[in-house]
Amino acid sequence: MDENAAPHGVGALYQEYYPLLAKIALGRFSLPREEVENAIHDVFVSFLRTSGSVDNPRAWLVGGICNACRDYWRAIGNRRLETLPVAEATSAAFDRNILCDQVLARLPESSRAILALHYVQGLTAGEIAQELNTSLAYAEQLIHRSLKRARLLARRRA
Amino acid sequence: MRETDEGRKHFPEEVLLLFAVDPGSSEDPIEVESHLRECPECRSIVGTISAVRSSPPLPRMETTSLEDLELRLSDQTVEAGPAIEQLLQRPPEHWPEIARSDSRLCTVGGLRAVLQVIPDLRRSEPERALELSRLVSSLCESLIAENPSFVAHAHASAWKERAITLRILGRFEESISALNGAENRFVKLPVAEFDLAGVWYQRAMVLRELDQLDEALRWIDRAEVVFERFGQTRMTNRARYVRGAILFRRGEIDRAEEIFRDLLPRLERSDDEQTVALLYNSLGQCAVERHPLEAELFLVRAVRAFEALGYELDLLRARWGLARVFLATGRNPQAITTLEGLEHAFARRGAEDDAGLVALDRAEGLLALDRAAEATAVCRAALERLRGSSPRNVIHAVEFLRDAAAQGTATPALVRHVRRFMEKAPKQPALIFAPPA
Repeated sequence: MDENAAPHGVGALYQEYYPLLAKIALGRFSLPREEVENAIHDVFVSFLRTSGSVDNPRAWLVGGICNACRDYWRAIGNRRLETLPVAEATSAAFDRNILCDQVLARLPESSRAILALHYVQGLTAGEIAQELNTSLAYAEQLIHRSLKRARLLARRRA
Repeated sequence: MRETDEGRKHFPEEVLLLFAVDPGSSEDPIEVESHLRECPECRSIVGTISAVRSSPPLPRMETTSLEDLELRLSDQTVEAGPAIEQLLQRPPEHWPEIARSDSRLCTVGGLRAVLQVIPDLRRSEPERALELSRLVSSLCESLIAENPSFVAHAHASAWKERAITLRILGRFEESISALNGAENRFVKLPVAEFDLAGVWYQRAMVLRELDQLDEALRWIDRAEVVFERFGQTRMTNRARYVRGAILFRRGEIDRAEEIFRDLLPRLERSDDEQTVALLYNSLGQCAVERHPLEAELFLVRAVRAFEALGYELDLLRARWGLARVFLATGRNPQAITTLEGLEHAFARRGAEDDAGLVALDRAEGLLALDRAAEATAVCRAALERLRGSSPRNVIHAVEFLRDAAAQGTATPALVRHVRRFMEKAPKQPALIFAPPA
C-alpha cells in the first residue's frame, strides 16, 4: 500500500497505525500505559481537523504522536514544578532533574531561596512569613511569583 | 536534517522512528541508513523503538466515534456547498445575517467548507476573501458546537486565512497581527505543532516583505523543522523555497541559488506546480546578470507554468525577468517592446512602483539604441510613477537620471547604476545617491 497516495478513512488509519503509535509512545517517550490511548485519540482528532493539508498520513501521525507525548511530559513537568517538592520533581522522567537544576540556576537568588524554603525545607507560607518577618499574603505572593518565574524558565528550556 | 548546537547534523526523531518501523517508508532510506552508520545518537533513537517493536500492542478503543465524527463533518461540508454559492452571490454586508440564519453554514463542517473557498477567492477578489474570513471568525464566536476544539481550530484557521489575504493586499502589519491571533488560538489546542508551523511559515513570508530578513529566516527554519518532522514533503520543500527567497532578497544570491538548485529535481518530481513555477522564476532571476542564457531557459519555463496556473502577477514578473535577459544579451528592440507592454500591465493593476522600475529598464534599452529623446520621456514617466511611494533618496537618483537623459549624457550603465542604488536605498533612508565615478 502506498501511504502517500489516496487518503484513508480515519477508522482504517486508526486500525492500521494504532500499534505503531502506541509503540512510539511507550518505547520512545515512556508514556504511562493508561495515557497512551488518550494521546493517540488526541492525535487522530487533530488529524481529522487538519487532514485537508496532509500529504502523508502515516508520517503526520508519527509527528503527531511525538508532539502529543512531548506535550504530555511538558504539562507534567509544569504541574510537578508547581506542586511537588524539588527533590521529587527532580527524579521525574526525561532528565527533569537536569531541567530543574538549570531552571533553579537561572532563577534570581531571592526566588531560589523562597522555593528552597517552601519545597526543600518544607516551610509553609505562614512559616516563611515569620522567617522573613513579613505578612502571610506577601509570603504567598513571593512563592507564587517565584514559581511563575520557574515555570516560565522551564517552558523555555523544555 | 537538523543541525545541533555543536554543528552536527541529525535526522528529526520522527524520521528515524518511521525508519525503525519500516525502512522502506522513509523518504530517503539510503541516506538515513548511511547516517545511522556514523551517528551513535541517531542510532540509539532507532534502537529504542526497535526494542519495543515486538512488544504486545495495547488494547485499542473503538473507532466508531472517530468514524462518526468524520462522516458527520463530511456530510456537513457537502451540505454547505450550495449555501456558500448562494452566499457569495450576495454583497458581503449581507453575509453575517444570511449565514446566521442558514443552519447548513452554522456547523463545523460548514465552517470548514467556507474556509476552503477562501484561497481561490483570494486570487481574484481578495477584499471579499477577507470579508469571508471575518465571517468565519464571527460565526465561530457565536457557534455552540458539540466539538469545541473543531470550532476553535476553524477560528484559528480563519485568522490565518485573514493574515494570508492581508499579505496579498500588501497590508503587512495587519497580517502580522492576524498571524498572532491565529497562533494564540492554535497553541491552545492539543497536538498543535503542525498548525503552528503553518503560521510560522506565513509569518516568515510577511517578514520577508517587511525586509525583516533575519527574523524571517528564524521563523522559516522553525517551520521547516516541524514540516519535516511531520513528514510533509510538500510543505518542507515550500519552506526551503521560501528560505531561498529570503536569502535572495538579502542579496545572498549564491546561497539562494544553491537552495533553489537543490530543490529543482525534488520539485520537478512532485505535483506541486505552483512552487515549481516559482522556482523556475527564482532560478531565472538568480542567473539574469551572470548566466543570461540559462536564465532565459528557466524564465521561459516559468512563463509557461504561470500561464497554465493563471497567476497573472507572477507571469508579469517572469516576463520582466525575460526582458532583462534580452537587455543583457543585446536584444534591445525585443526588450523594449516587452517592457512597454509590462509597464502598462503593472500600472493597470495599480503596481506603480513596478511600472516605474520597468520604465527604467526600458530607458536602458532605448539608450543602448541611441534613442535618447524617447529615453528622456520614459525617465520622466518613471519618475512620476515612483514619486508617490518611493523614499526621497530614490527620487533624487531618478531625477539625476532624468536630467542626464535630457542633457544627452545618460548611458545604459548609468541606468544600471541607478537601479542598483534603488535596490539598496529603501532599506537605508540615509544613503545618498552618488553618480558613478
